[in-house]
Amino acid sequence: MQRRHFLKSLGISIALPAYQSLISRGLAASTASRQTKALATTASGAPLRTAYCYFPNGVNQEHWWPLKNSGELVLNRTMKPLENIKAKIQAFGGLDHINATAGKDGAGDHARASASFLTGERARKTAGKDIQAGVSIDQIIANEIGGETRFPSLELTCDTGRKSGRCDSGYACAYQYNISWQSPTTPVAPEANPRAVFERLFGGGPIGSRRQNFKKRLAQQRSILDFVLEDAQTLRNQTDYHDTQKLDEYLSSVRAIEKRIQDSEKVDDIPDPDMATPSGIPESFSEHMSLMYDMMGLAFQTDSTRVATLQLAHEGMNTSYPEIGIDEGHHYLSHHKEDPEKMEKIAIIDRYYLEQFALFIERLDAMEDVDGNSVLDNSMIIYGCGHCDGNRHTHDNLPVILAGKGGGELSPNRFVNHGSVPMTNLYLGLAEKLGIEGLDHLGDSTGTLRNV
Amino acid sequence: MGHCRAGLRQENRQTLKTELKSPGKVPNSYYLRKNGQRTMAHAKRSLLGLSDPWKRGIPLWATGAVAGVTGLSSLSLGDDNFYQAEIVPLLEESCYDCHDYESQKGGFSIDDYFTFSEVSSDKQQWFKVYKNLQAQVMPPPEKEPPSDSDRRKMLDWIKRDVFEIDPGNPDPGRVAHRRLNRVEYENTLYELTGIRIDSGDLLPSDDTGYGFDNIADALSISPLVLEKYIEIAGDVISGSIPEEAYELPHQEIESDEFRDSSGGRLRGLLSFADSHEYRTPVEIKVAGPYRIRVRLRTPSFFDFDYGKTIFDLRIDQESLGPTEIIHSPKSNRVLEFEARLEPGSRELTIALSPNYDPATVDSQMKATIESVIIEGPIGEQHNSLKPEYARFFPSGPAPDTEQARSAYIREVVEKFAYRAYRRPPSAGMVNRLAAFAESSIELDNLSFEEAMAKTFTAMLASPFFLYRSTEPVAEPENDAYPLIDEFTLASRLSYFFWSTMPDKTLLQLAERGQLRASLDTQVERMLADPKAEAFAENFVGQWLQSRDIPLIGLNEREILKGDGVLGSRFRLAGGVRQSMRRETEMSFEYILENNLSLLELLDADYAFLNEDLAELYGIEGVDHGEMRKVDLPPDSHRGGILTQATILGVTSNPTRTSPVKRGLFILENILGTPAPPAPPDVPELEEAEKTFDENHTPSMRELMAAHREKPLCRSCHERMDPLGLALENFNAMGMWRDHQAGMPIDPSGTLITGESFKDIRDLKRILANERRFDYYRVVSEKMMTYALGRGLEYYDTHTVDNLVGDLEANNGRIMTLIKGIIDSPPFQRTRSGSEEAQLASSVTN
Repeated sequence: MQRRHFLKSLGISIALPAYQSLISRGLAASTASRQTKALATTASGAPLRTAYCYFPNGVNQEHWWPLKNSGELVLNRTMKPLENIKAKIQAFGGLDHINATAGKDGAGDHARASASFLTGERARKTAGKDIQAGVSIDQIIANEIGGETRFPSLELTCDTGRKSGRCDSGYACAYQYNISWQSPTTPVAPEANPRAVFERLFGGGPIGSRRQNFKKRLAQQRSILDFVLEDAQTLRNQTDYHDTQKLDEYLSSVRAIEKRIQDSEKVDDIPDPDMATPSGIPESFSEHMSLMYDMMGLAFQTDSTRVATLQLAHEGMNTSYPEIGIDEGHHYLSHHKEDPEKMEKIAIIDRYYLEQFALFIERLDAMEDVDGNSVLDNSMIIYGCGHCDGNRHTHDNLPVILAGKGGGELSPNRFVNHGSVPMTNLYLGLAEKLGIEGLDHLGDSTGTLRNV
Repeated sequence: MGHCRAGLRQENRQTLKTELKSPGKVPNSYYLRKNGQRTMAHAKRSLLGLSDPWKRGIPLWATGAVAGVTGLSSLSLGDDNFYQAEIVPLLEESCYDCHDYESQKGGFSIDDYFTFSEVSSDKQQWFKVYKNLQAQVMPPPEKEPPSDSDRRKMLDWIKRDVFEIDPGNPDPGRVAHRRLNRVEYENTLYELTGIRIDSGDLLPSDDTGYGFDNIADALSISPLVLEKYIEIAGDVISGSIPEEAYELPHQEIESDEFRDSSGGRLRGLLSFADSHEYRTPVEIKVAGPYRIRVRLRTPSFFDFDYGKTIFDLRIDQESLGPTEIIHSPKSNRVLEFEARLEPGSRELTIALSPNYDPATVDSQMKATIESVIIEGPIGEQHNSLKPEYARFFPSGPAPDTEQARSAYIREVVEKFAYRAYRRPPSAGMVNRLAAFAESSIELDNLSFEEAMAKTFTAMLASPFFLYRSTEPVAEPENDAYPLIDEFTLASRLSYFFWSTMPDKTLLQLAERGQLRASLDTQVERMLADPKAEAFAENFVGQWLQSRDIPLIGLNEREILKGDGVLGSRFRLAGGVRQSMRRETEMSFEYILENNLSLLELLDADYAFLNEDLAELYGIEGVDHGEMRKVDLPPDSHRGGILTQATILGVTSNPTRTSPVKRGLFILENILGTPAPPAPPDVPELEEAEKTFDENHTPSMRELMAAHREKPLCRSCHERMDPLGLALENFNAMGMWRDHQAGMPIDPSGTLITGESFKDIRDLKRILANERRFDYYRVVSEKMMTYALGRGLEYYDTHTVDNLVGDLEANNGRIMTLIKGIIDSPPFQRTRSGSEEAQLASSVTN
């Protein structure tokens, strides 16, 4: 309470112990100068972050679901790695994605599962033309609160191999390889290279030179953007028929970068993390996951953004996990046909993914935030999948974890079974906690879930 | 009957039938029951024909027989009477059991199409009907199929009346502004700047559509990607403009231009124990001082080696000073000589002679001569413009006067824009670019080169560079489907075959308006160019998925364990995977080079192998490292893409084969009848498993046979399974095996179309003979999709039919298809703006 007063009244940055060298001073200033209810800000004046992490192909339910169906969270085997941090997470049952189900569209559950995950919309069944899902919750949030930080949002992936040929059962590949959608027709391509993420956030080069490189890059982008904006408008005017969608995509990208540059320029003191730039995509998948989580954590810690998505692997992925002795493809195993051996392997895979998530959550909890709490305390991080049972392609009762205390707004350390409500209701509930007003509908939502 | 319900529906059908038998009579009662609010559409479609404003004669480029409008009676086209009298009875006979108002299988009911106008306003639905009829997926196998002539009649009617395709002037469709994909972007940047980036590392993956990554609609852009374009452009441009404009004149002579006294080339390792002498003529144009550098390599041993040689370089037999070469841990060396050279043809000699006693001293010393570089004449007045500099600035650095510099800036930006935008820039565009460069010099205080670099960077981030757009020829008035202009055509050709921008020849022909007239020679020239490797790599690489083989996870140990080979350390190393990929590409390239039949991709008595691949395949007698054509023994089960490790591998799971995936692969990519999507409530495979005795582990074949017992599963699996099971003799890495799960493999089967086969050799023959029309259609559709960058639509059906017909008439020769696509209306033409606007508004109305 004391600290909050301090921030509000002085509107300047305050010296915080040790780890805080990364926190940009601009942040506290901008937060404090706002008069109305601050967006994506905790009661204590710290940034409130939100992230969505997606893992593929459903879970082995026997080992996933907490051992008590309500009340205090009693972790089952898969979630065991979260034991140490249990007090700051909660798990849900009874959240559904009706628009991932077959409906009249037939096969293609993997495409629909990822396309609907953050949009709540039914993906239009097309192999390429007129792709359409919906605007994803992270992009809606980024639109509202993106101006608070140097980057409106981050879209990350650990998926690197893109297959040739067709994707899932007549659906364009865009549905399976993206979870963020900036418009109903345009997915946001995620970044897989941790080096690129780092350099984009902080600038290239060794420690000490990054700030300048970052600014140089902004200046270069700015001068180029002015020019190409005019080119794009010229070309759009030449386009005399109803074929302007691609150019509108381009134009909105130009405007988004311009806005981001303006937001970046509000912050004088671009953070320069005391670490070497990652060298690229690591060979090992767990290292890749770990590094991408780190990038997200770093972006949150430095308040470079407050919204992020991370697609750990594309829905339906069928590669093996030699690191943990799983030789068969993940998707192949997920259709286990109740074979105990395959089901056991699915449980091992589920836990493998969860271990990386748990390590990430613990790292976030070790980062001290401007208000003296941990970054995890001031976060709301969803970890989930658009499939529950990968074997039968079910999309109800989805496996979902919410990590973080939401700046004290959340009630963690429990398992709540909601019976059967749209997953999107949860998203609306979380958006509300970010201070976003008037968002009362998303995809198939039927209300706002506040019991979190 | 099975899954169709009887009863009320049957009755209903009877009523309808009776009513429909009398054309023109409207079954009001039924109609009202179905949709009380709707009124009957009165207006009959005006007849298609001469009155149509855009109907014209067959254009010059149209090739092939105008097929597909046969067997129709003399009734008016697009007519409701015709629909009621000729078509409805056929639909009732073949489709109505399942697609009536009651059953509405697949959400399709013929009762919704009471009049012809209802049919013709729902072309997308009838496109589905067309495809299913065409592929003989419908009616399903348990139903009585229509006679061939009835099927033909329905197909022709859909094409002509429903799709309103005018065979002489079909709707060519339109392609949205198409962003360059990663490969195209990388290649185009390389052509423009001489710098090759690793786009796979720098840019996010492209979204694909219709099986390809060059589909306009699927290629979107996001702020992140645009940021990357700006950054990459900046890096590439600053890396490609040299700091120094001038350099010494120089010529480089490769070592194999040197000959010994008996005419042998200078090649490989020269031992220090022997004497060597090689000569070559060189042309010297200007007298003056020169520097001659010899680049050579010696092996780098750790221990000192006492072998020595005297290296001598002579001009017209005059030594430039002998140099001793002794052992050094450094393997790359440069020897420098200086000489004054006179103009004319001079003889350059390289001589080595031992400088130790090979009889008493043991030495391994050898040298590889790489090249000789002659620089000079030395002196600033002789310096020439660096080609890397001249690439951007053809007349060197900027002139001193401001006026001359401004003119030069215009020249430079115009030249670069022409190439980067793949068409001549408008005067307005040149003005804008020049102004941007000038202001960078004046306001930002940049040097001429820096300002130009910034301008080039902007151009490489511009949509004119990043997108390919379609421009019709000038004055497309009253022409609904004008020809595309020749610059658009040049780009369509170059990205089709080369995955990169058009070269100088294509652009010059386009500028002179001669490209369309010289298509045949240009296509041949382009395909003979090394850049055409991109065609196999990207088209075949995606169609047959050979591009994926380096990346897919295959667990060698587990795969072999499944075949009963325990503890194998066999590894599919990167080199073998590369050979696998090349095998598929080379099979295509060979057919392309020799204009052979596309059927040879399916069945051939040769293969492209090296030692590694032959070992994987168990083929004896191949001991060469490079990939080469090898004739197969007559009884070989190899030959053709289905027996190649690429396809066998990419359709497998990491530890075992997947007959379903393999079957689906053949259906999608060879036969072109994709299985209907699995129904929503697929009964579990484990239910099938439960039908077996506890003590019996069923083989894959047994398991799948049990699964097929369910009618719901059968309709798909009867198509896929025999195809996939026929390949069970090949494991997930493409190695031959006779047993699986301890049992002999039975590859025999029967296709849904009735042909029986006993093994893969039989199957290949059937695919290449009885089923060749299906295959021709698939290849045509795939290649056309790739060439156009869009999915195929109902209005393309006639073009595809023509391609298939031409292939059949020309024994499947590949150039027939390639030229057919290039000559086709969708490739040559576009929808005009007004036509597009009209179509768009008719959809919204």
